[in-house]
Amino acid sequence: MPRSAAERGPDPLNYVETFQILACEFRIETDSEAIADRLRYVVQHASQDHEITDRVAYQIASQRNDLLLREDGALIATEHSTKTLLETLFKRIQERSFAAVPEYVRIHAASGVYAGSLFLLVGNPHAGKTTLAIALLASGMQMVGDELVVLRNGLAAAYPRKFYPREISFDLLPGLKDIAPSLPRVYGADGGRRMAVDPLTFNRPWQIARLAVGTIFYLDPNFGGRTSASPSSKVDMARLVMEQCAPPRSGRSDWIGDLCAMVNGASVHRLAVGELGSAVTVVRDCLRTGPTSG
Amino acid sequence: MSNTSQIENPAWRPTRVSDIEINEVADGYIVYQQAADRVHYLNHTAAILLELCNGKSAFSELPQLLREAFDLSSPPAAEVRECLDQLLREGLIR
Repeated sequence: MPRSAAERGPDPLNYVETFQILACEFRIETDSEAIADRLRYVVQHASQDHEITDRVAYQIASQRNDLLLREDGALIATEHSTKTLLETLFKRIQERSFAAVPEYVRIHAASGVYAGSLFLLVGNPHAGKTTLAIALLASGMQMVGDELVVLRNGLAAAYPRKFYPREISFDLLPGLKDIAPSLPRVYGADGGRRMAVDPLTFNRPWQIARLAVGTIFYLDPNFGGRTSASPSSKVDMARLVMEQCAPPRSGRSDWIGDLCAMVNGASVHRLAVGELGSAVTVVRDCLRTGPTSG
Repeated sequence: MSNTSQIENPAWRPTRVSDIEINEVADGYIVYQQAADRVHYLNHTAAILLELCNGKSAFSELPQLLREAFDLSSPPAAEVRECLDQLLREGLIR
């Protein structure tokens, strides 16, 4: 079980966080309050069904004006800035978490669970995946990820990380404005401010499990217009999803077969994402009955 | 449903079905069966084998053709049989 909060341990590295990402468990110790505070932006405590096969320990220690980052005891970075050190740390965490599951295909997609299967919201950056995922979450849907899904042997799972909606998109998400002031904020790679949200923010369970993919939506931005869904051929969907995939780190070449099998087993829809309220309705309708227009 | 008993006939000349769309990708082919709305991934070997299923070559000749194509030390008879069996079952050849 992941620990649910930062713990105060013996000096000098008196802040400790332990959390799981897929098959890897991470432990971070630091003596820096600034670092400990910033860990709130990224450390997640989703329940996961992967067996832990790798464990990595990080220590972040202040030394004069620098911060020293050690990975399993070996010094890997010395940084002056908290921001730069955290960027290095999170990059390493991501690398190590993927290294523990080298056979997995990575798909750029938000994901949720409906009737025991996973559904995916696939699309280019800025297609609206995160905003729609948050809107679905707020509407009561069981959303589990907003960015990445991993796939292997016919089963897919959300990559465990918080959802990072842009601050400006909160204007589109009624009901979230009230909780926004209490949410951690982080600057994204595009320089915009983002919030850190997850199902636990909404007092809901966050369970990430490997499941078959039942439905795939490919998001086409139609901002300012109406939201509608239309059926897609499997070959078109396979092409579109492939563009949003990263091959397994192991280099196995049959990953496209995994992808084709996933597409063949799913109901597939193109979703022109316009007004958000109707987008939620259309997604729900598709999951229940098939493609409709909203 | 495909008749996979053809695989027992050395004189059988496998032929690619006509209603498929072939898309070349880095590691092989993605083949689309429009009628069934299904996509299949074929690795390089399966893709070449599908190309060789032109109705001109007998099943028994295909291992030798593959041996020459890949400069192999011996004809990959078992692999060809397994691959053709799968292509038949998926309805990509007849």
